[in-house]
Amino acid sequence: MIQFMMFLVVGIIPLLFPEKIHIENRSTIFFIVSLALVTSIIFEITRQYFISKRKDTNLLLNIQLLTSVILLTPFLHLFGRINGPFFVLYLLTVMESFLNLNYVFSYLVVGIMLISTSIEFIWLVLIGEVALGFITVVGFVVRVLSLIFISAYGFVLARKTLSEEKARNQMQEYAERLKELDKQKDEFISVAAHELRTPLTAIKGYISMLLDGDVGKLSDDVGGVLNRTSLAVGRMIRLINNLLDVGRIEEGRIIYRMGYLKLSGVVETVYDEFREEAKMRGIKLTLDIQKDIKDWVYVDSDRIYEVVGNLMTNAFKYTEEGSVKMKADNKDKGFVRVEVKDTGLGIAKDDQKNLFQKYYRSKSSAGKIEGTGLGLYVTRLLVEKFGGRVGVFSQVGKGSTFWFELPLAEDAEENKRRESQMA
Amino acid sequence: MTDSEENKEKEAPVILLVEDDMLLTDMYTMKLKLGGFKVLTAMNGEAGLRIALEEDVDLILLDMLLPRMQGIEVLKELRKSEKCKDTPVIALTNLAKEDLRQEAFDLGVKDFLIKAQENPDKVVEIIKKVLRK
Repeated sequence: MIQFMMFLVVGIIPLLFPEKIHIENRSTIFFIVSLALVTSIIFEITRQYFISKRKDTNLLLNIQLLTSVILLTPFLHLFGRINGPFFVLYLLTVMESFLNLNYVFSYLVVGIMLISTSIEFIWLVLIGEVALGFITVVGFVVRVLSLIFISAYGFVLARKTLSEEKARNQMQEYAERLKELDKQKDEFISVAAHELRTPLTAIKGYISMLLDGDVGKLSDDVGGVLNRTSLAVGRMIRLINNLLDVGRIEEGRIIYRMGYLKLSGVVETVYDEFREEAKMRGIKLTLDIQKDIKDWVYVDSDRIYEVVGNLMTNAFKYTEEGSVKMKADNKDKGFVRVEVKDTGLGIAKDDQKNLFQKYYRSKSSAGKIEGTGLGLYVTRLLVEKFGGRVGVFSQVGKGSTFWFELPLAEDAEENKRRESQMA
Repeated sequence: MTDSEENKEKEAPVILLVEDDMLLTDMYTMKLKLGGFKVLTAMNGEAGLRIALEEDVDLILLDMLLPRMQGIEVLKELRKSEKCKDTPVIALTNLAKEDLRQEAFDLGVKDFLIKAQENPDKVVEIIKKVLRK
């Protein structure tokens, strides 16, 4: 009875505190194996104690030895006298769980144990030790029950561990594959954009030659049309630059040509560029630059031009009528701020926080208004690169205000003078 | 041809344009001629190198992404040659890689221009500035 209780208690412990014993890994299975082993040893010692209290100790030990030697020779050789079959059976079960073998081995071992115990029991009864015979039988039943109990437990654990590991491996495989595909896509975009840029450069060059009067004087009408063509080409180049820049900025292999400039100058240039389009579309375009503005910044001029251009392209894209206002000030100490305010569709609150993410298109615009979802992402990357911030205020139906801030460059004028002297 | 015209012709600096895109070659050739230069063109790196070594060239506009011989290889060969080791070279490319740019500057290019970002006007301006020095 004592052995039975001990066996049960030790066997049940892991079940009672599953959260204490982390059953996700193999070391737990080892723990349970050792537990089973220790339990078996205690059990066997108890059994030997009962046997040793009998008068004819030697005979009894010889009977046990004989039956075991006959039937369990291979296991005895391996594990000695102490509950060899139990341990072997347990190990086999665990191994099976891993190797997905069938149960034939387990049945075999249990069968051998059954036969060995039966012979032992009959022998004991025949020589008149009936009580000891029953102890042996009860011991056998307890052993087999615990065995099944612990084995099943181990099996479930192993299964769980295996399936979890499989799932984890699969996830990792998918992740790798996605990463690879993402890289391929980036490369494709980069190559495609690069190819697109060459003919566009030629178009841009020819147009600028025409506008410069290199091939003869143009009538005002022709000049106007060419100006608009030039605007469209400019926008296309900006779009392609965005596609190209994404990869470059992310990989940190973009060339920044840093220098000092007055941000209001960039704003004015972009304003001039969009005046024609505003006139054509009947949108009121205004420019408001704070008087005595302090706006020297240290940036790559082409890139910052792109940033302002991106905000303006967006404003015009989403505004069918009304106005677009450009504003520059340095009310915030140490920063110069540029705002582009439109009276367009506006953006829902949920969309706002995602606007500056890669490939993000707001729900209202996706599918209706074309775009790559890159403009604002590139804008953010560039502004952050130059130490600034971007943001948006918006109300659906009323319009949006996109803004960015850049830190003022200290001693910029002096540095600029030195730069030009050196050049 | 009068003497003065002949002199004028001689005075015009010769620019070698190495560029594989036909339209860009045509566009820059027009612009450079309008800017008062004589223009030689080559559509690949090998031809560019050959012309540079055979003809009297005042400045080379060199694309970096070229068939047969990459721009940077052409540049290395030029620097090795006795005749062209001091000829000013301006890299003109759409391949805006920082390491390439650095390598080109190490080989002594006067400037590294990104085609899509520069107006042809500006390119002519830069050439004039380089030749004046």
